[in-house]
Amino acid sequence: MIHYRDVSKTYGENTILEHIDLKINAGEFFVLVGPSGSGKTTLLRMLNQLTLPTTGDIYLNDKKIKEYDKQKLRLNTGYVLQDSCLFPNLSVEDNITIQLEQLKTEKSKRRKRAYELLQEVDLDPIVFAKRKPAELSGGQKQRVAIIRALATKPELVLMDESFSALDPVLRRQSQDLILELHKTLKPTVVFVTHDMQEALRLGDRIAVLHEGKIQQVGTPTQIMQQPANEFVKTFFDTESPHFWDLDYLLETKHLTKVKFCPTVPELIDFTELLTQLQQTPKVRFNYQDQTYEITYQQLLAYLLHKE
Amino acid sequence: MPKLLETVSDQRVEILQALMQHLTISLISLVIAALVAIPLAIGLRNKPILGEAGLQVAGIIQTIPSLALLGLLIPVVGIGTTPAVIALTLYAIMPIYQNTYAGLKNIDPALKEAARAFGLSRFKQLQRLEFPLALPLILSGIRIALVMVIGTATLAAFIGAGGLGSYIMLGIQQNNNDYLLIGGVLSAVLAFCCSGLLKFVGKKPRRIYTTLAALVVLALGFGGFKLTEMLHAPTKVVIAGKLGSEPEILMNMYKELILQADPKAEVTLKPNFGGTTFLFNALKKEQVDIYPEFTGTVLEALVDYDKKTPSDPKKTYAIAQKQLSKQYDMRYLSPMAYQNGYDLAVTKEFSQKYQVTKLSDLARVSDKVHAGFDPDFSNQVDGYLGLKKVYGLDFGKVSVMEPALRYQAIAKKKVNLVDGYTTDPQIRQYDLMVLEDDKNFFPPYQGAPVMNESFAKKNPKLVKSLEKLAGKITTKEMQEMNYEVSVEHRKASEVAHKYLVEHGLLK
Repeated sequence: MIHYRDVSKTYGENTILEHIDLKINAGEFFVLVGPSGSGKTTLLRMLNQLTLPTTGDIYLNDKKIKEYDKQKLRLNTGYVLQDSCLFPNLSVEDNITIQLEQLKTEKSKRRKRAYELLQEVDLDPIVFAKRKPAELSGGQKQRVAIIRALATKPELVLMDESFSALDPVLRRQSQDLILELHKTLKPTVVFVTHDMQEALRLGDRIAVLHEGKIQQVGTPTQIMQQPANEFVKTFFDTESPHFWDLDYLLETKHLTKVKFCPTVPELIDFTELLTQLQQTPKVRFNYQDQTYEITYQQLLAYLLHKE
Repeated sequence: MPKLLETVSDQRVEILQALMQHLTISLISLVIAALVAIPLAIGLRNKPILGEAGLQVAGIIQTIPSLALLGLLIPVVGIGTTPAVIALTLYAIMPIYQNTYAGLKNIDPALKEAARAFGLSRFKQLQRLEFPLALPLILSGIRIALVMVIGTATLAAFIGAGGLGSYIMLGIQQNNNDYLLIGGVLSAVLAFCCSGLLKFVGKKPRRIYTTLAALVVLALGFGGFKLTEMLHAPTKVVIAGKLGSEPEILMNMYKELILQADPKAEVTLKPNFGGTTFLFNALKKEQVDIYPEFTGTVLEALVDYDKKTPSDPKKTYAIAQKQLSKQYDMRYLSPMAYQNGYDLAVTKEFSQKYQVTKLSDLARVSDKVHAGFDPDFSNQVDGYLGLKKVYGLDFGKVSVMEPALRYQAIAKKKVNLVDGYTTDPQIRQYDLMVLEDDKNFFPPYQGAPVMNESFAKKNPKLVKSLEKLAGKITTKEMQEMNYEVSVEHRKASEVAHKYLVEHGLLK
């Protein structure tokens, strides 16, 4: 569906992208991952003509992207930015259907579409449709931003570090949500992130970028088990698995909330919890003004469940 | 205070008229400024170099003193409402442009990028994102402009556009604090109310759009009204006059006489229109049809005439009439009886004590005199300098003071002799005695209506009706009427009407 053919991009002396050849299949959830400055966002922005390649061409459904009408192309492409970027002066409903409004869709049809989408992400349209973005929580905003990108039923959805600004809990919820939406609606999703855990969790396939060059393209398993070079190996090695995190643990039922007791010691991270559980079968700890209790059996159950 | 209330209730119609005039000039200027500034800022929002240049230009215009700007506009567009509206518009553009530009520039670039990435057209981006987000700043710009325009519009009175400034100008001229208060306080209140109203309107988008719609309807209605008015135009006559009560009384007399001759004529009065040259230029440009002018002034200030002004009033008029006709193709109707020239006045006590009734009597008691003179009079050849020579005077003490203060000085016995004009109401108010100019030193000043020959030819009936005033109104009568208007604060129109009726000039 999308085919980058020998694409390069330079700004004056600086080379951002070098000889990129890449195929993304229709309906695929494709992740571009790499450290900052690797050129992944530039690569993404070429798909809706926000950036044009210096040399080479990108084909979308066998037609060069630069030959598409810019506005039509963008209207049929979903786009989710880092901050939700909802228009603060428009209601949730108007935000969701802004592209439909540009396409001159009737008001009643626009409303119907907004309501459908809101229900899809568990926001009651009666309650939320007329609200302004300022009246939403961070998670709600991000959900609205996601369904806004889906309003025109686009075949292609672009996501640029869409969850990077969210806290870990919200981020995981948003990831679950987009995976679910992808499963039901089957658009092609191109997702840019610098977070390799996120890449592993979301991507059907992943392209690893570094200094303007593609290092490896493959499924998460391929990349974990057969890293193509030293860079890919270290990039995916250094970090712990995503569930190695107190925030993830706290979300599950594998521990007990008890009455807040200020004298209980404060815990900083997941590793510290493991060290303490090595010594006693049951640990009480404080985390973010709340006291919890966990036994080593509970922890084992959590880890087992995650695997 | 009770006097102020009395003035207000006497003049309520005129005050309301001035208020409406003020508001109209201000609003028209504001609307034009907004129609220029907002689209301009929108057009330049993505062109930083031009946009910043616009800010600079608007800033420079802002620094031109308002009176200077008004003066600069007179040769180009004449006088009256047009230059006032142009000047006010120029001033109002700056804050509106600045705020609109800043409002559009301050929008989060990420939001603009999002709008672009969604494929919204330029217009849609503006309509749905940029304009609504900039709107609060735009409105505050409009509010700043409005307050400024209402304040500056008081200066419009100086170029004949009327409004509340007329009261301020009149107040300064006549040393009348009531007028100053009326003009000043009302313009402040007007600015305050309008600003508050705009703030209220700006709170909710719906209110803004309703107000805009109402303004459009109002403008259309106004335009339509003006159009029908133009189609059925009756004879239009604009009568103007210099500052003060006397010209205003005369103008009202002209109006009544004209209306008697042609009841359908539409007569507009522009009292306190401006100084001599200003008025004369307005007449030349046919912005004014008739105004009362003095024979002496015509010779001394308006026409080229290098000989000395004759002391015989009849000769003076004859020369003035001939020269106006020859040099400017204007018609100068026959003068009224009264003479409004310079004079010297003393208290009754002084006159009795030293047996002084004529100027020539003064030489005897020259060293007893303590004079209070207007600065102009004290060093003009046709003032004190000439008097000294002709009558052989050398007063004991001469104090130079503001014109308005001299009469107060003599009333408080700080001085015992003042210069003035023969028809000044203060002569009666302070019970003074005017000394006879027995050697005819002061040039004769007789009032008569002046108009363009073309106007006179087109309206012979009106000319005839105005000629009825020739030879009427004595100095004493004029003094009396001036007293009624400027001291007793009666309406000039009533005083004029009473005179015409009493003297059988009005049927």
